[in-house]
Amino acid sequence: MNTSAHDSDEQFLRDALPAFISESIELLDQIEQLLLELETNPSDRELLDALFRCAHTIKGSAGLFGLDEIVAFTHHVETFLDAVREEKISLDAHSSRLLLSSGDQIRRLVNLISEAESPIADEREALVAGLMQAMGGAGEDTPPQTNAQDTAGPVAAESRYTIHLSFGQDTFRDGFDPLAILEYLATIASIETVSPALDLIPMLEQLDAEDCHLCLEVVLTTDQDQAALAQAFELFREDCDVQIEPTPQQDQPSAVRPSSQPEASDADADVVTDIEVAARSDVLGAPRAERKTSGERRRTEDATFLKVRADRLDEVINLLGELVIAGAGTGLLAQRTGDSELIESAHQLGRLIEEIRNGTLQLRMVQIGETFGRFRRVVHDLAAELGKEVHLEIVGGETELDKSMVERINDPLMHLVRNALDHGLETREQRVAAGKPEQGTLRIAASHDAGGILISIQDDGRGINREKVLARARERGLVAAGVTPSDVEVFALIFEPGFSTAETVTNLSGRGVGMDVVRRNIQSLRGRIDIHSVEGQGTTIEVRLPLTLAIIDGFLVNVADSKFIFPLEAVVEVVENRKADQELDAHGCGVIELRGQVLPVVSLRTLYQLDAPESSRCSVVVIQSGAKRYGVLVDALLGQHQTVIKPLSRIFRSLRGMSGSSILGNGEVALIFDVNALALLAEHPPSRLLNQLERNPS
Amino acid sequence: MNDHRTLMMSASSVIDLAQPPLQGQASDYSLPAEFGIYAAAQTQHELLSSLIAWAQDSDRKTVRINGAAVDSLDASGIQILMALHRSLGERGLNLQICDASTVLHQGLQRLGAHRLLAHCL
Repeated sequence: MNTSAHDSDEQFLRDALPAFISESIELLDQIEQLLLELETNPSDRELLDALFRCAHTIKGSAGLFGLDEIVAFTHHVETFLDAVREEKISLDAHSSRLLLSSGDQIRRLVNLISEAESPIADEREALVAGLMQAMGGAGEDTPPQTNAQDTAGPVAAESRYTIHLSFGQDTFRDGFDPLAILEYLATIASIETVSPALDLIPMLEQLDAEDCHLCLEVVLTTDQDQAALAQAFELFREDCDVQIEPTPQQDQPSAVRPSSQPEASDADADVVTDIEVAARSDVLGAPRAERKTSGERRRTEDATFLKVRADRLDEVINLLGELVIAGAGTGLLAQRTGDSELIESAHQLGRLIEEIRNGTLQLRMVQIGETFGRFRRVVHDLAAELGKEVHLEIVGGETELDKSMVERINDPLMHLVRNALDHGLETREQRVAAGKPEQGTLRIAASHDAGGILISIQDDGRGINREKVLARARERGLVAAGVTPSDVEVFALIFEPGFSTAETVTNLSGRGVGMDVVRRNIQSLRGRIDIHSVEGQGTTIEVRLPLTLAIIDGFLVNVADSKFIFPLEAVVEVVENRKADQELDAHGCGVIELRGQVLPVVSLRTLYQLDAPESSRCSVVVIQSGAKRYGVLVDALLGQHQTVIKPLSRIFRSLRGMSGSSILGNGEVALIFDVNALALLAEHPPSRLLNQLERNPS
Repeated sequence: MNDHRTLMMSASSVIDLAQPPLQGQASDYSLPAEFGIYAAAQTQHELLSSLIAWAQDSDRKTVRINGAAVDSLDASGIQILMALHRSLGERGLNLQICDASTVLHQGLQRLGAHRLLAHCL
């Protein structure tokens, strides 16, 4: 190959490397999950096979990039797993820990790809030694090299296979090259013969040069088993039908003639005859149709996914935000002209923008299960470290929310899970003494709730001692003497910075450490965190989050000369043009009667001290916040509004009850309410808090 | 890359790359340097244009394709050679690949085409 072609290949590998890293990380996550599942189902062969395939794919892909360290180390893991599959060794707790650590090691190697030297060679050698020891030296072999010519003599027992490869018509168009597949095969096996089926190639006059008509029969020898060999074709399964048959050593290569393909013409018959045609083994004869069906099903399933770079999607979302604002502006201008055709056209445009918006935002939605899955490892390791028996339940992993939200919620949730394990759940002895089962339960659940998502972390541990928390709060002057706060208010105190310490609140030790950071992180996502606890029975922490951070359906209202937006999902109902005869206190709080029920209300005009004359009539927006329902008094209801959320600038960050701002079609700025914060503000207006502080300056 | 070797194929022998190029026998067509999917349609078009003339030449028994220039290829290029082999066979003509570059040689070998094309001598 000349220099330019070589450079081109190197460039291709450089470009493909980020995809390799990303896929390897996903596979390592899978390895971790599979190992943890195998701990509870050690005899599940499918899990074991899947585990092996993950390791094998990482090794194979790393080989393509010449990443020798990953290939060599993963080879040991693969050998170990092969010994487990062949039941030479069992996957006990020790082996599982070794494999989990090996997974971590591969992850670190993947992360270190760009670095010249690996600082973890010693650790790797220790792990390899551990794996060898666990195998009793039975599976010791030589790590493979990435160079094809060095793979000719695998040490493990070799098997001979005949592989029938039937490439799809679009193989070339899809960017796949059967030559590359054969080159890859050469890295994991010793290829004896490759026989193409010439009779399936059209004559030059009939050929569409971009269609692929290649069918190949490959006879090879390898130390891989059939499943591992099949895994080598994972990358190409979209474009290639693969049939693998074990072939006895004495067999000779045969020409390829897939059953679905026509017979050779007479003119070609002689071409094929000199290549000995071996009778196809019937080993896979009967199941072939089934295998094909299963393969087709897998292709169909896989074809429903398309990997897209997150930054490209973010660019589209940003542009979409601008489109929504511009669309609103166009609608407004159309209204001003009074031209009915233009108004209708603008409406149509608005509807289409809304559909595009919904569809595009949906693209960013990911299941939270992947995040939850990572907690399995944390629970596994931490429980072992603390000597606690913990049963982890994960519910609602399929619940979807915005990808950026998932990324940002990971750390706060991880902290909560660690806290629950470390400080919530008791040791085995403590649980037995308390009359509880030895094994504690940690339940992580997600569900949709009032237009947002509710994540709960529930343990059946010792719970929070309300009296100790209250006493500590009184000591610190956080609660005035004589005041008896509710449970919710007491438990909320542990979110105060540095509130609890192990010395003062022994059965709550650590619950307060970092909890202020957790609350701040969740609030920055326009979320809310609540604690429910019963001493001796356990604690539940509920995190409520909006589904997205980008664009929402809003409900636009007018108060004085200002515009405000409520998230539409939180709006239960509206009461328009009601006589403003309700009595309000100095903070703008009061109650009204709504269909025979008492509804607490808050006046935005009073709460935010907006300068404008009181109107004789008002409207009420009824808001749902968690289990609470309250009304907000506004001057006018302006209706539904597609709201592009813009962050508040630094000087407005201290503005309470607001989560962001949005630009309206006419260029005006509207503030977006955080309904949960507004509910709290309505209960505890700033002026009331100020008065409280004045009474208790400490 | 320019190996000055001849890829002579027969049913009984595999590949004889040790022989020098056939003296005094000019090639009928030279494969492009980039013999892959991007050049496949163009190469096919040019070969088809020549195919009619080759078929009409009653004295011709062999079509010689020069592969010295090939420095990159994929399976689509080799597929064209297989298709050409079939078309020539229909017309009673043999295909001979001369002076194959290392890249072409390795590609043919990798895809097993050297065995197949060996029959065309």
